[in-house]
Formats: sequence, C-alpha cells, structure tokens
Amino acid sequence: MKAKINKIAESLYFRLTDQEVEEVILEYKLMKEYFKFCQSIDTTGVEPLIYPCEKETFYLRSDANPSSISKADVLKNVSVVEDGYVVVPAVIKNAE
Amino acid sequence: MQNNQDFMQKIEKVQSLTNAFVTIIKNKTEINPELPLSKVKVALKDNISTKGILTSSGSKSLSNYYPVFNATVVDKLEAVGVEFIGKTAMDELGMGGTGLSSYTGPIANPYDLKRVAGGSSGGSAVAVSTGLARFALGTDTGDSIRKPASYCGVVGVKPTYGRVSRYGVMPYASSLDHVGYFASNIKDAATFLSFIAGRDDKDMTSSKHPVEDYASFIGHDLRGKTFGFLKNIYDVCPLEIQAELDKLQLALKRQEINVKMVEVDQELLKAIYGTYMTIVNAESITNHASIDGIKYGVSILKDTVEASIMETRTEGFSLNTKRRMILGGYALEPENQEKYYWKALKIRRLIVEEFEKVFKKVDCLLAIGHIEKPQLINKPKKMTIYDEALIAENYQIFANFNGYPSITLPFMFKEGLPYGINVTAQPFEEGNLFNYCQTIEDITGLKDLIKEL
Repeated sequence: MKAKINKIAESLYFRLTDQEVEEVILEYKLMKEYFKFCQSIDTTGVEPLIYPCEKETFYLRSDANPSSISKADVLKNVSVVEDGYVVVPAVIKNAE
Repeated sequence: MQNNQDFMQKIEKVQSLTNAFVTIIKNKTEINPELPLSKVKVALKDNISTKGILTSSGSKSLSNYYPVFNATVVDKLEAVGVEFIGKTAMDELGMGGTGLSSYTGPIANPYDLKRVAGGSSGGSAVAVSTGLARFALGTDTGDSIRKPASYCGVVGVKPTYGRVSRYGVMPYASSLDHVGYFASNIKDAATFLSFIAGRDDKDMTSSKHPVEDYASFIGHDLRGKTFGFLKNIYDVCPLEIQAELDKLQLALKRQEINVKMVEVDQELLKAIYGTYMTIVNAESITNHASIDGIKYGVSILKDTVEASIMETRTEGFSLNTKRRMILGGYALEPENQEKYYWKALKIRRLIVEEFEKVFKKVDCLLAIGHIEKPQLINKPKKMTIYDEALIAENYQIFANFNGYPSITLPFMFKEGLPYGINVTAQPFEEGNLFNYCQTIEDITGLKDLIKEL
C-alpha cells in the first residue's frame, strides 16, 4: 500500500514523508469503505453524467479573440526571466 | 476619513480574532457616487482573480501570485461601483469544508471563536457575518458557500450552474464549481445576483439564459405552491431542530402554502459523499496540474525541470491537498478508472434523476443546513465510517451534481450558535427561489444578523 501511494504521489509530482503516507493510508481505508458502498449501487445501463446541464452551453463561438494577455504581463509572475524568455533548468544536457 | 479609519480598525480587529482575510485592501480608488452599488463593501474569496492583488487560493504554492487580469465577476462589480475590502481566507484550493487548511491558518467562527467558520468559503462568510462586508463572493463545489453560511448566520447563495461566469476563478472541479456569494438578507441577495449573472464569452460554460430582476419576484403570491421537506434529513435531526422545522411547516400552511414530506432513495443519498470525493478529486488533479512554479507561483528550482516541479509541489501543497489529490489519482489509475471514476459518474446520474423526481412534486426542497456544531479548531473531527451525521452534513452536494440553484439562510439558534435552512429550486428559477426564501425569512425574522466582535 505504501509503495502504491508513493507511486501515485510521484505521478502527481509531489513527495510524501513516511508519516504523511501513514496518514494517507488511514484516510484511504475509510474512503475505501465509501467506494465499496458505491460499488453496491446498480448502475447497469446507466450513462455517466459528466456535466450538470447537458442541454446547455455546447455551441460554436464566432472565430474572434475575446481577450488576450500581453507578453510582458504573462512574464510578470514567472520566477526567472531572461531576455523575454522563461528560464528553466537545461532540458538537453551538454554533450560530454 | 474618520469613517475609513474606524472601518480599518474594525477589520483589523476581526482579522486578529478570526483570521478571515488573506489580504486587506487599503488603497481605495475613487468611485463614482452615481453607480448603482457605489461604495457598497464587498469581500472576495481568495481564489477570484484580482489584477495586481495577491490571489493565493489559500495555497502556499500561490502565495506570490498577482494576477494580471480580473475575473469577469470582479469587472462586473467594479463597473457598478462596489468597494472591495479584501481577499478572504479559504481552504487550500477550495478543498475542504472546515476552513482549516489555508496556508494562512484556520478561520474562526464569529459566534464561537474556538470553532471553525466552515469552508471552503469561510473567510467570506465571516466578512458578512461580522458586518464588514455587505456582500462577499465565494465558490461552491460541494456546499462550500452554503455550509459556512449555515455556521455563521448569513445568507449563502449558490446560483444555477452557469449562471455566473467563472472566468478568472481558480477551479477545483469544473463540473461542480459555482460562483456564488453571501449577504445578510434575502432582498439584498436577490438584488445582487442581477449584477453578477450573465453570459460571458470567456467562459464556455456560462449560460445565455436571460438575466432577470430577481428582487422583483419577492412578494409574488405563494398560495398553492408546494414546499417539500426532505424526510431523510428531517428524521436524523435532533429533536430541537425538528421542533423548529415543525413550526415552520405550520406557519407555511397558515399562508396556504402546501407542505409535503418527501423522501429520496436512502442508498443514493448515502452514496453522495463517496461519489463526490471520487469525481471532485479526479477533476482536481487535472485542474491543478498547472501549478508547477514555472509560469507562476512559488518556484523552487532544481537541476532538472521535473525535479523543480516535484520540489515546488512538495513544498507548496499541504497534506490535506495531497491527500485529496491522491484519492483522485487512485480513482484515475488505469485499473481503477472504470471501477471508481466512471462508476461515480453513473451514480451521479442516478442521484440527479432521483432528485428530478422529487422536483416534479414540489416547487422547492428544504432541509436543515447542518445538524452538528461546527468542529473545534484545535480538535478537528476525525472522519468516520458512514453514519447519519455524515449523510446529513453532505446531502447538499446533490445541488452541485445537478447544478440547481440552492440557498442557505439563517433559521434558528441552538446553544448560541446559528443553524441555517437550505432551500433548492429548479435550474434558473432563482427569482422564485428568492421569493420562497423571503417567506421563510419573514417567518423566522432572522435577517441582518451582525455578530459584533
């Protein structure tokens, strides 16, 4: 179970301490009961309901740009900017 | 000027006692006195984007995020002249019903500072409850406006799904999120919706349904209408609450309003919480994948991009948020998707259809807003296996599943603490819903409750 939870955490891009994993396991055991209960509901032939209002909101909008954000504004919340670019650690390693 | 100083002293005092704000807005701009809501004080939940003002969504990961645009709802309110007083504290990323998981600390209930204000829109509820704001915006993904309204003795409005634009509002779960608000009385609440509702081309899920003069519905003749009381929840209420509900029923009958006890399938009611936790957390992991510290937010740079994102999110999210995301991740694992995620969406349909049947018999559905005292801040309640309380504390999520408009308004006091009553109507029936609620407010006389601190 511990390995499973750590694997999910890793796939979601965060880590848990051992203590945190224990707490997640405790909650997971309770949630498992709720999930188990849900399994007992007969859903044969039932279609999934993804959005509350199925009849509304699906349409084609006109091909016009309702708004845009300037490059300067986009970069305002970036932690490291150089020459108008977002700086991240090197993705491609230098050849040895 | 003196008034402003008095107000700032008051807000600082409330903040020191309740921790309801992430940001108090001190620099006020000039406001045209002729605008319809000129200088009306409004607070905003901290997940609603405000240009140049910190918008952290209660998360350490966004504790340095200053949006470069306003949410549509903020633009709409600015256009009618409101004065924004602050950004209110909330459960991290909207995840929680207690107000305990914000990176700025727990939010206290004005009626008992040892207890929680509820969540996730707890700070907004406190802002109205203490009289600092006449209105406060919140969001409601699974009763996150209506529960704190019930705990704090104010009106909490969750309009129909799509009624208010969500552009610029940080999402938790897109198929369940609603923008709503708090007010002190029903007339105010009805008036306010007309200013914030409406189609927005920046939000594909916003509705083209016409915006109405909602306050004009108040006072329409209700004789012959049917108010349904949800028997499943009535049956598990403490006797004192049942007695008050009985009194309300009698008062409604005296006004020639039909009163009916209605029941939904208990198994489906019981399934609401597990279904919700599956859907909401599965959607959340997609919505929150964008929090990586690269484009915005607190950033911890390491040797690689992956390591940087890993470190940023490990440090930036609380355990509560990680727990919820792991539940979502679990439900979406390839071997679990059919069994948990798709199953939950099918149960969602069954629950929605079950409530549709009820609304064929009644014009509105009523039940108590909560049955147990808000939990103590320093002694959080442990989760339990299914029991009646868990069902009664979570049934309101049905209106997130089906998007129906749903309002909680003050109903009674018990041991000095407020309890609200929740009233729900059919989609885009907000005008009539306000009228139903006005009738209840007139009967209880509980309005404009300000808890001075």
